[in-house]
Formats: sequence, structure tokens, C-alpha cells
Amino acid sequence: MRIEDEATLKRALDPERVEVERVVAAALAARPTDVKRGARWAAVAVALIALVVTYARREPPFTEPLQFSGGGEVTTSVSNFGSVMLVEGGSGRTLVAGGAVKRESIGQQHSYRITITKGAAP
Amino acid sequence: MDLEATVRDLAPRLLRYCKGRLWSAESAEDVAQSALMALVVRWRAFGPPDSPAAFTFSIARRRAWRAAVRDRLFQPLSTLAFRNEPVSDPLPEAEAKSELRRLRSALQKLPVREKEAILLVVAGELAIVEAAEVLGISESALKMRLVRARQKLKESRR
Repeated sequence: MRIEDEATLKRALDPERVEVERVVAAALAARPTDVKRGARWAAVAVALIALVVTYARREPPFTEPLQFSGGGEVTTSVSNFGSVMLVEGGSGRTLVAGGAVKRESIGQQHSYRITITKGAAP
Repeated sequence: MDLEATVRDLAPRLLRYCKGRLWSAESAEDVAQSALMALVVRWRAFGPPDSPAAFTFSIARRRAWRAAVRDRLFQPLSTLAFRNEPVSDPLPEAEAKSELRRLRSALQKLPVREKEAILLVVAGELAIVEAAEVLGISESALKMRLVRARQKLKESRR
């Protein structure tokens, strides 16, 4: 490749003045990147992971209505908080309880103090 | 070293290099602009790099690779899109295009490594030391690539 060919190559690729000005203006207007952005993303990621772990480790909810006898004692192996439906024996009497609070745990057995919100305790 | 003067000096050289690499004025401008922006941000945050030209061209080289892949992927879509291009004098434009086409075909026949070398040194006006730094090779290896590229371009004109 001769020298004039290299000059031709340069000339052929020469940008227009307006292009150069545009690029220079855009480059000089560049703002520094946000150095705290990384830390913010890390915090969001940690919070999300914590949320997922908390959700995965939560205790299973009461899914079955709890059968109880006239004596008023309920034995179950699950524990949770929130509302619970109580069904009395075979009579079909249903009570809705809210605010089950764990009173004590002995081995795998847990006892709860529950508040009846609908219906009357037997 | 003055930032604005450096940017003004590098801008046309970068644009030439990017046009040679990409052959698309839009992509070339995007790549040149982003490389210069990276230089400006780096300069303001930590001071000037040892070699602003090598720094900027290294970034432009990497981004040009990505842009080339992107252009190749989206080329079928962009040719379908309707474009309003400004009407200009057709004769000089045709001449320029024909010259550009001749150079393009000659350059396209070169292996990528040799094309990179010739574009950095001729279009980008980088010194041998800087171009070697950008390509991550020794100066003698770069000189060899340049010799081979010039030889092939010379042969392609026959």
C-alpha cells in the first residue's frame, strides 16, 4: 500500500465536522458514574434474598380445620399464627378463631391459646 | 494535559477507526462517543490515564466488536425499516461511495488482525507503541502485521 493510498483511506474515512463536534460535545457532557449504585444494588439483592429465605423457612399454615372434642383441647403438630377454623366433633359446629398464640412447646407438641372470633366456645 | 484538547484530538481519529471497523456511520459514532465518554469519566474521577489514546482506542476496539455483532444481527431488520435520508448532490456522493467501496472490499479481504493493525495505525493515527498496547501484542508483532496488511492491499490493487 502506497503512502497516497493510506492518505486516501484516511480521507475516505474522514468524519464530517458536525459529527466530530457532536461526539466531542457528548463526551465532554458525560457525567461521572454513580459510585453508590453498586452498593444500592447489593442492598436490594440482600433484601430480596432475605425475603426469599424468610418465606422458604416460614412454618406451614393451618390448612386443615382442627377437630376438637367437647373438652376444648386441640392437639396438633403444626404451629402458626393467624386464624384457625375449629370443628367440633361430628356435630359440624364451626368456630372461627383468630390470634392463636403459642403458649408452650413440649417436644413435638405445641399448645396454643386461641381467641374465638366467631361462634361460641363449647 | 488538557482534557478538552485531548478529546478534540482523539474524536476524528476514533471516528475514522470506528468507520473502518464498522462501515456504519451511526454505529461508528455511537462507539466513538461511548469510548470518549469513558475517557472523560475516567479522567475526571482518577486523572488522565498513562496514554489517553491507547485507553480510548482499547475501549473503542472492544465496543466495536460488540457493535459489529449487533449490526450483523439486526441488519435484516434495519434494511426493512423505512429511512428518511437527506438528499445531497449525487455525483460526489457516488464517487466517494465508489472509492469507499474499493477500499472496503480491499480491507475486507484482510484477516481481522491485520485489518485492526492497519486501521489503528493509519486511520487512528496511533503510534506503533500505542497500537501494540491496544492490541496487546509486541511492537515487532504489530510491525509484521502491518507489513503483511500493506503487502496484501498492494496485491489487491493489481
